[in-house]
Amino acid sequence: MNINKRRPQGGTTSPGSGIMKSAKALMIAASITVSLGAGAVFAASDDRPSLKIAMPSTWASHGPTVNSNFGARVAYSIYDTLVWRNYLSNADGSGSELVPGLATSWEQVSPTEWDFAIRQGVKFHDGTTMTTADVAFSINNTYGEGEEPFAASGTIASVVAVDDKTVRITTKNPDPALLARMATVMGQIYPQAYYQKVGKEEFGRVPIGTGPYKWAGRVAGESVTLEANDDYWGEKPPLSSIKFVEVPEVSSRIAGLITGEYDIVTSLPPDQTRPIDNDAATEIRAVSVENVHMITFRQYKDDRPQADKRIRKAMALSLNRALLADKLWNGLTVAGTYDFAGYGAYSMPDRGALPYDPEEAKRLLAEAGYDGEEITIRIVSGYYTNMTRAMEVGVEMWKEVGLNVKLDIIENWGQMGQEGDAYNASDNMWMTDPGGGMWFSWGREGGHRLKDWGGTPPAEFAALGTAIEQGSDFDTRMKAYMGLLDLWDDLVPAILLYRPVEAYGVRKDLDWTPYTFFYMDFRANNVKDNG
Amino acid sequence: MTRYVLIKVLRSIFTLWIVVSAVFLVLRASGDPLYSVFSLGTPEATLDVFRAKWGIDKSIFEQYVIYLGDILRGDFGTSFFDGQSAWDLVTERLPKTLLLGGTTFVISVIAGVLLGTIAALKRGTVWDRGIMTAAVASFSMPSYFLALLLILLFSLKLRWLPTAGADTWKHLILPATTLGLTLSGSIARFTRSAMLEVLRQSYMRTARAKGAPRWRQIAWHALPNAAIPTVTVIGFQLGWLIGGSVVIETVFAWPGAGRLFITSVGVRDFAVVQLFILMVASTVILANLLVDILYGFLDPRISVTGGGGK
Repeated sequence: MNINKRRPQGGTTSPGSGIMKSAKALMIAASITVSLGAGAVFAASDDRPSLKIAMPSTWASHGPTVNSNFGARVAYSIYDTLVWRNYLSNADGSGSELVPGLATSWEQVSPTEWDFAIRQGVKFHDGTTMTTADVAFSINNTYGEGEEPFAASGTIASVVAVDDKTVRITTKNPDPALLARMATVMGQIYPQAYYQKVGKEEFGRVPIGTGPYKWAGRVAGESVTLEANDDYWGEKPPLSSIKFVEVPEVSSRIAGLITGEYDIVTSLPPDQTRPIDNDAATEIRAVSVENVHMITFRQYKDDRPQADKRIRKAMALSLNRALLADKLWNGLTVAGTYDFAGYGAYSMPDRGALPYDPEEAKRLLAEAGYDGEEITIRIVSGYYTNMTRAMEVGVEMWKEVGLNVKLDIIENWGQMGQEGDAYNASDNMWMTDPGGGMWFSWGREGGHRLKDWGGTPPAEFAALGTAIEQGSDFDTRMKAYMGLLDLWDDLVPAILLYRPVEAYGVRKDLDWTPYTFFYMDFRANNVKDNG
Repeated sequence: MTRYVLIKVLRSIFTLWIVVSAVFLVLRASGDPLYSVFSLGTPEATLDVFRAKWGIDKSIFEQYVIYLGDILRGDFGTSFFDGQSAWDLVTERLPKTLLLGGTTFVISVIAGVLLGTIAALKRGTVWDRGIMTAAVASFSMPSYFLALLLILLFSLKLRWLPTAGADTWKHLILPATTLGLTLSGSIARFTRSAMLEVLRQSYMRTARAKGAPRWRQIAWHALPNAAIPTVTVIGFQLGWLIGGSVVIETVFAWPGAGRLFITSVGVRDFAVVQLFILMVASTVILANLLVDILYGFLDPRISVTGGGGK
């Protein structure tokens, strides 16, 4: 489920978990009675609790635009963004309200110019004071020739410190999603002087931001530690320290949570949570994250069956994605679409996913004159949780309507190449605006799925997307967004499977809400230790 | 003697060269590290910059020549993933692996030899059958399964020991026991059969006849003679110990070099994998060399001069 970086152990399944499957039954069979309360560990000379969090892996670099699964979990406490996305504006941690962060207010002064009033007196972890120059530098570093490129920044023309209170962002075209962009990692602010002194790589190893917790070191292969930043501009951090420890084995993370060694464990496969369900002192907190797993077609291969959109659509219609979502993810998620609740007013939850309709699939196949030619799907083993199982079931479902699908399971992404007719992938929502998600990856200049079209999106797709990206009013954008979703369902560039689930094991007396992405928030309004 | 050792050493270097070359080729044939390190959206131009920086834009043969030259100069390359030198990364994690492996090794040699000797001396009794059953069970059981049983009992049920990590000496107990049980099981079996063989020999009858005390018969006459096959097995087990620790380090989140290796293979972090395998191969080859030399001390009849010796 590691979306942004392709690293095998980034998934919810750790490298050894295959081995451990057999041990699952064992763990479950043992009725685990808990007597020991998982008390918080108190650090010396600080009456605040500290937390220990077990993850399958830790990341080496925590640079300012890190958005990978395990890096992002840590970095979210180190940096603040210009605009803050308040995930807690929905009780379930999926909120998309945008509120002041390191900018206290903003004003659109012309269709392409925005002035941000920068919070005064904010201190970086190295004690220096954040200036408008730091803000301009940080954002300018994410696009063009910047050293920390982030894909959400393609619309920006310039970022300038107007005076010591104001930063002006100029966009190439009117950009209604600018605030949403500033709430992603590209809006994270860090000290220019330190960055330029030590350089990109060293900065990633010892990051400095304005966040509620500061870097306290990493032991490779073992742990990453953060300490409270008591000069924090916001509410005082509620924890004295947070230690993220590496525990690759699912069973070991579960056992450690139950024995009280860890307060939170991440990345539990939804079908292996029974020992925690049966335990009195711990519980599962699961969220379906703003991501969608998919099988994307190499539709540019003109002589292959998938070049015909009717065959692509037949494959989607004959795959019972709702059933897969329900069975493989313990009823915690639903069939996938590119429409996310995080789009706020633009979101269309009632629209639903493409239906399961094997009869229509058969009709389409007959119309397309499909002759049973073998269609190969490449899958990277163990990378996406449940992917191989979903596709093994899928092959049987496809057989029912006469589709001849073969799985080609490979070991790592380096072996992927251009082989096969389709392959496994995933995509993020990217930002709280319909200019994220589908358009972001499949349409926008530089989008990383453009290659699946064979280079450029169809003209109609590009026109609709541009209307979303630059549209000046809600109705125009909404209409274009609806058009884009409809066009997707006609073209079916990929089969959208489901939104993956991130399941945490948490000590029950710890108030902490997981968000609908990998970020773990330990700011004052999201942590309370009652243990 | 010098010539013998020289030949042995040269042969060892040749073996190392084969290992190094095989690893070099197989790694490059089975996956491009760039796709492990970079985000999905990274432009090809950026990837090309890193291909050049890491020297993987050159032909395999050029890379190979450069690599051999580098390791001869003691430069083992840089990790693509961490940006640190591979040598630092591996040696930083090595002490933890050596601690785990060393503890395991000492415990299992003592326990294995002791139990094997007891079983041989009490041949056919309940002792013998009990020890041998336990020995077979311990080395037949997959170590990760045994690990979970131990976690279940000592961590979850009894709450005596931590489940994972390496913060205190308590963290060492479960992984060392898991590895040690497997290892001592096979050592015990080999010790037992070697002892039984030795106990039948005429010099044991002589020792008994001249009235040597029982402990002296065993410690001075039997054990040294049973040592040859046992030492051979222990030598082989060193290699096994490293392989076994890779699994155990993962289950117990032991931050050793074995886990680093697993991660690095997964992302094709060439420099780290190559160095690790080079080290493991050197260890195994060195251990076998030591076993060969030890033979000479244990049994003077085995000539180290290759036939013409005294």
